[in-house]
Amino acid sequence: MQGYESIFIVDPNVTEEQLTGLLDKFRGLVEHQGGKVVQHAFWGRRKLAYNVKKRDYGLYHVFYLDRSPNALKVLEHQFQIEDNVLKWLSVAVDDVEAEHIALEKLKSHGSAAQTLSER
Amino acid sequence: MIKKKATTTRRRGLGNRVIIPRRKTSEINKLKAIPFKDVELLKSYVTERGRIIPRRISGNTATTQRALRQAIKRARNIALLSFSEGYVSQD
Repeated sequence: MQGYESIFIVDPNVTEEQLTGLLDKFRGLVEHQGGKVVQHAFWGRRKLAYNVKKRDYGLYHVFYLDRSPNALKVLEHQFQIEDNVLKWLSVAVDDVEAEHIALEKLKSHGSAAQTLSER
Repeated sequence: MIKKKATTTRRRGLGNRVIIPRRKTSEINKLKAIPFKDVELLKSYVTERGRIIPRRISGNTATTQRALRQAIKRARNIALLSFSEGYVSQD
């Protein structure tokens, strides 16, 4: 299924409630626009390659959305407003499910570079 | 045994040209798509300073290099890779 992959980095200092509130809000926004969050993945608390808003770490969350016209627009607008979202990146993908599986694989097996050298 | 002088083995017309070994091709040429989330993979195509290694050195095909460039730029945007490394502020 065609769709969007939307990665956003949440401030690591947020409380548990704030985070769930934030995620629920984003989900609600998307659904309000007639979109759907096909998958939600938490990538982990990762070290940032460079400081963003004076933070060294970030919570990487990934939303996989379907291709509804306004949902992404509204979501990105909300990212812009939200102080607890440090950075985000949205990419159009051909197969949402495949991308999600690929991310899970990356999380558990590590890099594709290793599998390449094994071949 | 008398060692042959190197000059005698040179073919006419080729001058002092050194024979260049066959180019090694890059491993990622086999990949269908380059995932920008795979930091470890991308790091092997970036110098210590964070610059993208030219395909003349890495042996990527033009298509792969283009995809790689896109992936690295995306990774930089989302703070998976740094734009530049090792810079120390002078003040």
